Amino acid sequence: MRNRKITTVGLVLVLSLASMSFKCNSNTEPNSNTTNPLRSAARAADAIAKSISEMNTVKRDLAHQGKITAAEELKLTQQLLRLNTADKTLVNRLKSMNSTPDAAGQTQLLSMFNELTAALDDLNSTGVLSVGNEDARNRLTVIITAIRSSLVIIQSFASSHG
Amino acid sequence: MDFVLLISQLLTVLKTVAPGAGGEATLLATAVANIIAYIQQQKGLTTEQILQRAGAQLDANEIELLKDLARLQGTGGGTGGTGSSGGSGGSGGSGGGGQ
Repeated sequence: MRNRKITTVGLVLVLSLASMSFKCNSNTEPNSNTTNPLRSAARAADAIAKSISEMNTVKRDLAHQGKITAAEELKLTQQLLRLNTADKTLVNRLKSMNSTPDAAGQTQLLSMFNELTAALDDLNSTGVLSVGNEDARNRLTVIITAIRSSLVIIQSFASSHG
Repeated sequence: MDFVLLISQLLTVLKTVAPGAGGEATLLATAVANIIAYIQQQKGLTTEQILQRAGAQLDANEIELLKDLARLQGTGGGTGGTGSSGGSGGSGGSGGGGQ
């Protein structure tokens, strides 16, 4: 049990560091020296998309092992869907932007960021933290932490322009 | 500064060296390794390509989540293979519309 906890904490750290690597690589496009102010936010939104996919896989596996109930899985699924939709909205907005956002774009970005944050908080508080099995809860928390690290990147983008 | 690559390799080692941690830890390590590998692939992609990939991944996620929702609410589906019974007090979907 103790080993399992150490492993979980280690994975949280690893994933957080990996997610924070967006900052180190800045906004420079590959194979050119051009910078794109959207790049770090795009990378973070992309990482969130993959994290949702992996969390869904873990969720299914936990259900298969009988570690979460059908009601808990349903709640997690609903919250993941909300998070997925919020990320999709952000990605679509980023796709339509080709440079630093103006004041209106800035407001929109902040609103999208707030919805992403609210969806993640909801997933955590009403989905993950209400899971009865401690081990299942810990595993789901690892991925929540990764998504949170990515959100920090988006927050810095959404609040630093305009 | 390729610590991301280093970490993904360490995770691969962990999966093989620490089977005693159980399939559970392995599953989580796999999930983490997958996310890290995905992040690593971003290096070679332009921002536009990253956004295209994110959009495709989110579309795929939506399909899978809606399948699960249907299964859990007992309104069809039947894929996913968790074997859990449906009908767990469906409290309405959470807006899978997307755009």
